[in-house]
Amino acid sequence: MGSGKGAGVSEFFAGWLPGLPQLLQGDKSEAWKRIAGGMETLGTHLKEFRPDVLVLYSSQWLSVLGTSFQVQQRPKGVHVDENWHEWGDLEFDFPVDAELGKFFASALKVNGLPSKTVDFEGFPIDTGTIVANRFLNPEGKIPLSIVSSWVYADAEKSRQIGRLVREECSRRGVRAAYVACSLLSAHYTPKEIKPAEDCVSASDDEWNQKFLNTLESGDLSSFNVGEYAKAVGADMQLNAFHWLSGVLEERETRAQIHAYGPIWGAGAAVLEFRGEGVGC
Amino acid sequence: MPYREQFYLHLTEQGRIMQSGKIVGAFIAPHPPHLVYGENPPQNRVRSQGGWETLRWAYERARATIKRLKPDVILVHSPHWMTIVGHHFTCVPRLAGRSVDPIFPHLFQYDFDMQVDTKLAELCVEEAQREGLTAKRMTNPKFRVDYGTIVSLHLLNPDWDIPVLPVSANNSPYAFADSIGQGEMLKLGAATRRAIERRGVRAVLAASNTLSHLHFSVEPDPPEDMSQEHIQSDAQYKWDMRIIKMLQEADWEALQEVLPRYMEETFAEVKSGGLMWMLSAMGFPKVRGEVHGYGTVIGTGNVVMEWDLERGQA
Repeated sequence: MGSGKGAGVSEFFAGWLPGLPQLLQGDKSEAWKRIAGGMETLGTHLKEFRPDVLVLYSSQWLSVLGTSFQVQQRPKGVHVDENWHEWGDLEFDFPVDAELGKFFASALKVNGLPSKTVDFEGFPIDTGTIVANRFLNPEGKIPLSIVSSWVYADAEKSRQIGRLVREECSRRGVRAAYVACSLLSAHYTPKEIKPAEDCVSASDDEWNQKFLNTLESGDLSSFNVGEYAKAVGADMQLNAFHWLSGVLEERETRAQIHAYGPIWGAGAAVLEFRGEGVGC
Repeated sequence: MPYREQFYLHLTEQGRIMQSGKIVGAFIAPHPPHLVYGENPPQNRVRSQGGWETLRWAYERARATIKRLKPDVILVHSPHWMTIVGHHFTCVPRLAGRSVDPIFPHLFQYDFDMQVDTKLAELCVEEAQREGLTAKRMTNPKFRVDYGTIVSLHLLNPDWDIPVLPVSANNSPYAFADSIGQGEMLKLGAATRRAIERRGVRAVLAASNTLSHLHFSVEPDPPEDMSQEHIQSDAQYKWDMRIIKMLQEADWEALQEVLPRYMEETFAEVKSGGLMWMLSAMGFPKVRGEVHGYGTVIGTGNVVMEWDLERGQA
């Protein structure tokens, strides 16, 4: 599915976006405002897709004992970002498709991948999930199924997890929108900056642009994702992308780029993948 | 400046005579939530059948030292409060709430309530900035304190009757070369020491970290089944013993020589900077480190170790 075809009736919806508190501070930086605008567009298209559930993979929810799935029925509370705590409180209150999360966890176990479900009052919902949900699901009406980033998953395992999640939705007739919340390059600027002067380094920017152009073309065959991830210090080794690749498997997809820019030196993009396809 | 030169500079510069405040003791205080889970304190909502007693007994000895030292404040540097932009110091007079461990939520759901020495936090920020570091105050009263901070503080002082000062772990050791990351921690230690002197308090430092950090990814059922608990590899164990010997003998030159390889080969959590921060703050003293105990938690190597600076030179 190519650029500009996002608003029609589709059988498939996948996206990619960043999730940092800067995106709620658009008045401080044109770049952040532009990225936030892209996220709003992605959110509008997601709403038009009318999914039963938003399956959200967050690179900021780290898990060690395999992949975790949030199954608390309605997480509610206030989160303060560990780094940008001075920018206020991130309130959250959203429904979760708990049953689907349990099915996902079972599907992984059956296929030899460790997994856990998480249902604990006061569990720390990560900044990425909260910020992404603000843009994708502002009315809080779409149930979420949140997937953790398993720190020991390599590219292949991440793809397998994405594939299993998509297959489980297909098997159960769930109309799902799949979104990965992650940065591209993750070389943050390690000091205070003027938000208006935020920028990605020239080297990272060149790599990010190549990657985005490749995704836009839909042909990844000549692009070395591993080399790219290493060169730009990609967010969690770009496992969110590998997860999304597993979701997108068997589909001819091209990315529509809604926005790209810096967030405190890191590279952030908002992407949409839509189209006809198998299942869902 | 190369890491080795920075190290020696700090080794000599820190011999200055302090003013009124002083560091009276320091601990390597590992933070596996399993240890709080095994103890079953009223603050933790989860119950266990015990487990990891050797490490918990080690902490009992550390607790006795804390009682004897009667510090005015305990500072803790935790790798689970990782910050991207600089070094952060908690600057809220009282922090309370529930902290659920995002990694082991089934073991740790702890209701915390701590008094913070905010004046010391202000001074630490000031001194860190004088060192050329980016440093910030954390002033948000709704901040959820990380489990690393809470576990170390609970295990050192379960009465919570001593003010504390949580310090973040800047991610520079992971984002940049060891020379830059650990170099920042040396400066942070020097700044912390000066702040304590200016504040005029008796301070205890806690480096909240394990030693070797490679671990198993499958948990026994129940988690406290001690028949399943052992070190992840013999190589990891040998590395830990080698490092502990250097720490016992205050062989700082040897330690700094092998630290980069140790961190790489065992994924040692000391990489997060707490150990170097603590040693630098103490001025790399020629004081023998006392091992209270060593044990494993899902395969990681953990030592509870103490430097009693009031007891004098080794």
